[in-house]
Amino acid sequence: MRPNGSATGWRYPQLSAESSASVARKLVEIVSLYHGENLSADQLDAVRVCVAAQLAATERLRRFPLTNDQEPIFGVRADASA
Amino acid sequence: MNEDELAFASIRELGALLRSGAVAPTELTELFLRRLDDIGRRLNAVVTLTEDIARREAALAEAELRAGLDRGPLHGIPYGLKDIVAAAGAPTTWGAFPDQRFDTEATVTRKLRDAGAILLAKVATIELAGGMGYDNPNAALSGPPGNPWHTGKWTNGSSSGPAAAVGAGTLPFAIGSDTAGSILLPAAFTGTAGLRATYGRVSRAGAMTLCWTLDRLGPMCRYADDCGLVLEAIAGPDPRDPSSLDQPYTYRRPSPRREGFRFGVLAGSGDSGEPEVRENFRASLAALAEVGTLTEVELPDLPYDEVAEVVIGAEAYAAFDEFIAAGGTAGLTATKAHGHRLAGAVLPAHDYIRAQRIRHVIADEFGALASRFDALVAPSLGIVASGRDEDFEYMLPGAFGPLNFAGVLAGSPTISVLNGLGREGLPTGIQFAGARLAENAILDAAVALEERIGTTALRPDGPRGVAGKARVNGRVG
Repeated sequence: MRPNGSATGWRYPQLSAESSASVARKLVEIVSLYHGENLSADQLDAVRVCVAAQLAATERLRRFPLTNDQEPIFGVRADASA
Repeated sequence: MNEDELAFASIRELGALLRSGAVAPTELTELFLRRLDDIGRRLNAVVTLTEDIARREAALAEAELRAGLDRGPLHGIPYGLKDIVAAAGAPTTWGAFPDQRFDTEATVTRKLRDAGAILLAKVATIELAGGMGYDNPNAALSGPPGNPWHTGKWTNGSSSGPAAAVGAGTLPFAIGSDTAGSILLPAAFTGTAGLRATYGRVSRAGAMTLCWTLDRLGPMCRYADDCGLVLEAIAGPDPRDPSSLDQPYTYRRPSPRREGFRFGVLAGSGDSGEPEVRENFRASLAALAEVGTLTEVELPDLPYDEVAEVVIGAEAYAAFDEFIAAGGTAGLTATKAHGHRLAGAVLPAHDYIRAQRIRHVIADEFGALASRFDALVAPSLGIVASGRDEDFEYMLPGAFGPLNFAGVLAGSPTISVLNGLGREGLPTGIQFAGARLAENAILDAAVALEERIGTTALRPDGPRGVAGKARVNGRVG
């Protein structure tokens, strides 16, 4: 039996709105470095919107408490106990 | 039965006619080929008519049935494949690449041939099953798909071709695919029956991958009972798809259930959406109360949308990484696609894994709730079909509740069936979501509802529908 561990007491740091916006800008810049030559201004705007949405989603997930032993699902086992 | 009645007959009705000799597989094939070439093409539902394959398979089915060889309920029944599913001898465009072909056919194609079904067409899909993101209905190689009930309206996606073709009576059934609602949502918009079976029930070998841990293939039919018959033919283990399940599946039983159900009604699900959607849902609940108990339930408060967004964002990028990184999305019609998926390039692996860990919680908690009932019910969508030429980005998000994504992430089965007509004579739908492997409970419940409320008699024969006045005048609209 593996220890279940605990996330108690440890959390992702909560970024300020300003820091979050700064992270988003940097991420868009990275996308731009990789793929800029293929992107118009409108497309880059679409990247900005999606990066912001993605950051908001990951931020929400980082607030969800998990213990050390909670495994990813990867393949859904249809015969797993419900 | 006249041609229009044949076109909208159920699989069991067609099977009885085939076995009595009242109609031959070759006759059915020619009827549906004509309808596909006429109505189907005008709805932009058709990518490729597979006439040669169809006529060869129809002649074989005819000879076999005459000789007393009966392969089961799909023997001699025409069908179509969403064009992300490979069939030898025809292009498989994924809605984006007109010249793409595969030498190896999909397992589902083989299984349907073994069951005696007749492949008539590869039918439309949103580009790459919508996987690069899209907000415009014309994001498809075959153009914006039209809704059989009102040709100025959209089908929804990404299984747009199966929904349009089946809803218009140009095919008895088709195979669609679903990653995050791509069977359920088009079924709701077009008044067809769409079944997203348990993850792993149906092999995906030979179908385009969008998201390994979410993709499913499933039947799109006119009626719930048809979905069960098709699922029985295509379900089963497949060494080519490691996610496929070993559990056998049988739909045909001596005494399918028609009463004694336990329904969980999603709290608040009937309080939002368009007035006709709410009214039809209330009427459906009244009918369901005659065949079972209704208990209001709450879905666990979990981050369904966010988990789905992160899982799909990571896997869809990975599945198409070279295409996306090389700027391939710029060649797509989906305006949103050009920048949309690139966000996946800066999505940390640990966030993806975290999403899959939370998904485990979702699957467990949703499974615990679903297993207390035969089906959880809610409107399939809060709205009827939107315009064929309208972007829908700001319309759809508020249109569906959390039940769709809960079922998507849990890998459990859900069916959407027609439960009435709403604004402008457009279909409304109700979804039945069940526990894993419990397809028969939701199918039986959906059939019981169809029988009670009589929706199987409804046809797209309003002034803008393909079976009505406009078609008599020779134009679809």
